[in-house]
Amino acid sequence: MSFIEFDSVYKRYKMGEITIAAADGVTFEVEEGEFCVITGPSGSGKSTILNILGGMDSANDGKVRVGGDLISDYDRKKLIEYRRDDVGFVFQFYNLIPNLTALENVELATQISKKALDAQKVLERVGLAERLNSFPSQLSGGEQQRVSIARAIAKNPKLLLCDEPTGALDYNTGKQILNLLHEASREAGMTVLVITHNLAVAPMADRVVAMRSGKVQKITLNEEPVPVERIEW
Amino acid sequence: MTKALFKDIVRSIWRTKNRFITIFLIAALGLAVFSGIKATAPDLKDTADNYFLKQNLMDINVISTIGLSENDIDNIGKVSGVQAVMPAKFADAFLEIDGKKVIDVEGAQYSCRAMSLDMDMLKQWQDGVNDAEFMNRVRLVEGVYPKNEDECLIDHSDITSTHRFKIGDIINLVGDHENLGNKLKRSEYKIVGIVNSPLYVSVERGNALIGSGKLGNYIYIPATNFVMDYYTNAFVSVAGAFSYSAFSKQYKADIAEVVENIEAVSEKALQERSADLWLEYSPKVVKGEEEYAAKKLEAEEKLAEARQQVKEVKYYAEHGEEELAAKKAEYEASLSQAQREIYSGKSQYNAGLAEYNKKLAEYNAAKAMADKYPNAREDYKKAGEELDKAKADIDRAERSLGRIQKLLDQLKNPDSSETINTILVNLAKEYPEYKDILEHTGAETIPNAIVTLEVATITGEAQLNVAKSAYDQNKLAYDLAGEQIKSLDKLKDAEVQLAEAKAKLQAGSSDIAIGEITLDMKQMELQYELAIAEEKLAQAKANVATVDKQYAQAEADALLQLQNARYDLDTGRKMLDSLDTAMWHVENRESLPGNLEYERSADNMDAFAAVFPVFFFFIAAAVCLSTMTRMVKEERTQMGTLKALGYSSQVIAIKYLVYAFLASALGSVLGIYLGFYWFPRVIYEAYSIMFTTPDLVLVFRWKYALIGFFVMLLSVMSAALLAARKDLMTDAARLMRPVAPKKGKRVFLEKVGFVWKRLNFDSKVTVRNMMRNKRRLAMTVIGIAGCTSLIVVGMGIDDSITAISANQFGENAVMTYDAQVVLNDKLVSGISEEESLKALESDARVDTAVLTNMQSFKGGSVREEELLPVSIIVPQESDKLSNFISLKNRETGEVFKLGDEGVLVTEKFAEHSKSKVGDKVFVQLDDKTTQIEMTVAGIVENYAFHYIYMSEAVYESTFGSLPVYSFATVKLLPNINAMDAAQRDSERSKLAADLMKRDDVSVVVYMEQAVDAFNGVLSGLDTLTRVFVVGSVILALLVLYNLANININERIRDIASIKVLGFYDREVVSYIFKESIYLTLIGIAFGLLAAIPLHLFVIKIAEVNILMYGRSIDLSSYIFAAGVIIVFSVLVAVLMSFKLKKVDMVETLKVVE
Repeated sequence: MSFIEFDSVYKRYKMGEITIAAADGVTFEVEEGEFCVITGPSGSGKSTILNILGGMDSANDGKVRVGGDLISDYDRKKLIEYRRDDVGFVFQFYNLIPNLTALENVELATQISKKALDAQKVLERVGLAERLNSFPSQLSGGEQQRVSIARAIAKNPKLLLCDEPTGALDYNTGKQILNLLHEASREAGMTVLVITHNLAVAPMADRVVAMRSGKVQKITLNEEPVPVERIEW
Repeated sequence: MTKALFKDIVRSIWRTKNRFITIFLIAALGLAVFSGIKATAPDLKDTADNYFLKQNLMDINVISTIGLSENDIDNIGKVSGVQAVMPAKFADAFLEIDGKKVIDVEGAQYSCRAMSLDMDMLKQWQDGVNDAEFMNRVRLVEGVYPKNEDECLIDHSDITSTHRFKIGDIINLVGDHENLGNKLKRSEYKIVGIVNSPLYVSVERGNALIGSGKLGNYIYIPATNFVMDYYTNAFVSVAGAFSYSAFSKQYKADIAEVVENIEAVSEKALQERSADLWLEYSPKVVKGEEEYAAKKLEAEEKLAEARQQVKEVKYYAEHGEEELAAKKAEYEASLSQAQREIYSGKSQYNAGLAEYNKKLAEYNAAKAMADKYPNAREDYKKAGEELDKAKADIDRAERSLGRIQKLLDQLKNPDSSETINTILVNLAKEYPEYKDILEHTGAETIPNAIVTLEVATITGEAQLNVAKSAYDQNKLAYDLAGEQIKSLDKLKDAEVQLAEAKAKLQAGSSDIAIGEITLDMKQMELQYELAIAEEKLAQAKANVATVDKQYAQAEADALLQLQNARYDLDTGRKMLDSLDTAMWHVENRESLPGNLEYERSADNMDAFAAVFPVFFFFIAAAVCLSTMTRMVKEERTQMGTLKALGYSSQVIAIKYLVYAFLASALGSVLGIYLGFYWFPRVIYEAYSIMFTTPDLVLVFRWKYALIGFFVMLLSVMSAALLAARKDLMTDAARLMRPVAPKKGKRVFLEKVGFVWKRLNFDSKVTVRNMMRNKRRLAMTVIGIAGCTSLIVVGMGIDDSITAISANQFGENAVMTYDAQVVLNDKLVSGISEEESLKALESDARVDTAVLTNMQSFKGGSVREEELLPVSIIVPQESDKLSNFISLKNRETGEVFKLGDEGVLVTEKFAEHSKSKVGDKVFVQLDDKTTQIEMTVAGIVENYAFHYIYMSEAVYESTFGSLPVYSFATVKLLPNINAMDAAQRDSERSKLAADLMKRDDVSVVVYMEQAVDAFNGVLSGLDTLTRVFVVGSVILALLVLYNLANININERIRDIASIKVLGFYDREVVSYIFKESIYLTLIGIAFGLLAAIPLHLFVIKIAEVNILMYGRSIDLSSYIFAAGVIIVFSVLVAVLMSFKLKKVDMVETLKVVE
């Protein structure tokens, strides 16, 4: 039994007369501690399955299991608890609280999580020891994303979900961020799922799920993932 | 505008319908309050103007101190500017109903002004003729106009009477120490209609010429009832006056001119009338004086007689018992006397009977004796005759013997002087039987003669002896016969005596019978007399209690009559005396009671309208404005899109302008409608307790409508435009990207390490959040503070109004006494004030009492033109006043005593007359020219009406006379006041009833009665404040809802983010609203603070003359306001928590604004 199991998951949106299936029978598995990349063009349903997996959205049909728990059957409260303790999220636009310092943004997460890590240490680990008390507006995009990652990691979640984490960043910064995420997987043993439309990233993943039109097109397992430093795009 | 754009607008509205409706409602509320309050004052004035026009209210009232003649009326009619003149008469009198005095709520005797109603004019008017001369037409509220001379119309709006007059009541007018017959044909009138007169626009009735000086109500009686040959006043209308509002400067100027014109002709008119009056009345007064003297004498005599009778009755009542006892004793005595008489009569009778029996025995014995000598009487007679014969024989014998002897003597002893012859001759003459012898005897023959004679003597002697023995024999026989006769006589006597005894006996027995009858009759008679005596005694006893009263009544009546006569004479005399100083009072409408108050009320409303609604309006406008700004900000991306599509900035801006326009314009229209057609009516409803004007005239006032409309529109639309303009200037690309989040900043608090460190994480976040967006902070705090203030001020106005009576009356207030006892004139009751006071103080239920004098004046100072009604109160004992009235300065807390250095005036009076301690104030006497000055020694707290307190000494030195104490101010024992309401009321009414049994007590008025009436008048104002409060509360709700909405919309991304982090719902709510709670609390604090000066400002402007509103706001009002805001905040938070729950994390975070 895999750590994450998607079993024929459907997510449909009604747009007037038409029903659009954002996830159309998605089935895939991810093992614990894997670094998984989900690729696909816009509208292929990447974000949908990530949102469902993160407990931010729910499927219309199908089963989603995380660590053996059937989260697709969770009620609202259980979903919140799941998000609170088991999931870390990283967004393309960071979604930091603007009037909290970097440290405070992380603390915002750690104060509610049971097994949280020390916020300051996490920030030091992502290389922001000097910027603990800076506000998001005082930080560069990469730094903000690091805060965002620190916020996600600091909760010490089982799952780290990242939606286009490098989408707004330049090449080098993007690489550093990917490296951070990779480390989280390797060193902290978190299961990391990263959405990206940048196929060049795929070689660094343990597993690559390619999506198209709401369906899993292809799942590739890399026996020998390439370190991110060596990947170029 | 393209179709797409139009559609976009419609969709925008639909999508943000909450916001649209918010703007709509706040705009409506703002406009309603603004235009409503603004319109109320002019509506009030228009209403009065219409009313005055319709009822043809006089412009000028000319009152002459000596009345107006027909000639005067003609003269006034000729004055330039005068359109018409209506001469009129009135008389002031006390009112009685069912023989009982009517009392006003203050306990004074209720006075009434009877005014003349010209029946011909009335009829014409009813027939539809609009005669300018028919002024002050009354408005019939109920009933009909009079048809007969003894019918009257009565005042509809009198609130000071303790009696409710109704149609069918027969009222009786009684003069105040004057003979009303001099003025009115009859005193009884039947009420047929209830009216409002335009002369009295409020419940204020002005001054009366009688009684306490306060007019109670008015009646209209057919003019023919007045018997005076002059008019008391003349109503004048001014040509063209109705073309202006009665409250306009133009009108006032026009009237002032005509007033001057009339005053100009007054001097000559007064001179003429004075001359006429002098000729007519001066002889009348002289004659009247004589008649009065005669009348007085007569009355005194009659009273003396009555006094005697009283004395008798009293004597009888006192001594009647004794007299009755005496009479009873007499009765007993006379009865036993009669019985004794009968008894002695009976014993006499018995004695008589015994005697009779004895007499009968005697008689029988005598009869037996008498029967033995049947001829005794004849025998006796014969014996008698015999005896007489014998006696005669003896006599003869003795006589002849005597003669012989004599002759012998003479012959034997002749007298020498005479010759024998002569002697012989003489002898012969003397003894003719011896003539022969003697003639033949001569001197020589004498011895012969002597011998012969001696022989004759011897013979004679023999003869005599014979005769004597015969006599003796006869005598025996005679005596025997006599004895026999005597026994006969005895029988006769016995018979008579027996008869007498019998008669006596008979008489005795009838005497006894009569005696017995007499006794019976006498007994009856005496008993009757006794019964009468007893009855008389009983009557005397029964009457002795009332006889004094009857006498007092009679005396009072007599005195009253005399007083009336005196009054008439004095009036006449005074009138003659006043001819020199006679004048016309030419008054405008402002002198009409309540008229000025009405204008002031309207002006006060205007003053109210100057501040409060503007404040309200601006808060509303500010809220609309900020809401609109938010709206535009949120649509930033959309603007970018449109711009990118090639829409010009202007066209895009139009969208928001249209949105803003629709929301605020629609709201404004609704607000204006409510403001003009609903709001003034609500407020007028409150005022209608004070004013007697007809239904409110509602007018659409373009000025305020346009001002409100455009200010609202302008502020909302310019807000939209300004907000849009800033964004529209940036290029499309940037617009479409999310707005750079506002920078986080360290707040000042963070530098205060020891505080900051103690705050928990959430609080830190909250503090930062609050400080991050100063604009929103300010908007929220101001919005909430504004609403809080509005509520507090609204409630505070109510508090201030309520405070008037709470601060004025009762324990711990200004007037702390429980009752005013109105004393009767001591001339009438015969009881001095001091005695009355003593009696009151000795009542077990009375704690303490003081005699007081109270008089009403108009007063003021030279520093202020306008005069105020003010009452002077003089306690007989200065020290005692503070037991009944608090004499404390409100601000300094200084407690004053009534001293000799001056008077104490109440706060509002001092304020209005611009007086400080040491300044002079004055009261104006009835003549409207004499001003009595006094020095202010202190200013004391007071909330209703105006008072001047002074000591007796100050009164005396100020007025030159001692005050008349006609009131006793009373405080009851605390334990009575501590009883529960029902028990206390019954105890109080018992005391009042007990006191009123006394002759010296006219009436007892408890303060509660006065307070109730007072509160009745003020209660109308509650409506006004309630409207404010309700408006403010609604505004608060809208503002809070709006703020919460804005707060959530602004921070939607934060919300989504923390939800993703796994915040529970309640944690999300707390994260968002913690800040709102602080802002709300700060807003409330500011609002409560700001309310204090704002309230004072509004109150001072809105205050009416006779009242001083409470200066402070009740704690409960603060609590209420804060409570309302907090409750609404919670309500809004609960509402918003649903919305928070629904925030879609995915959608929210996906959309990059």
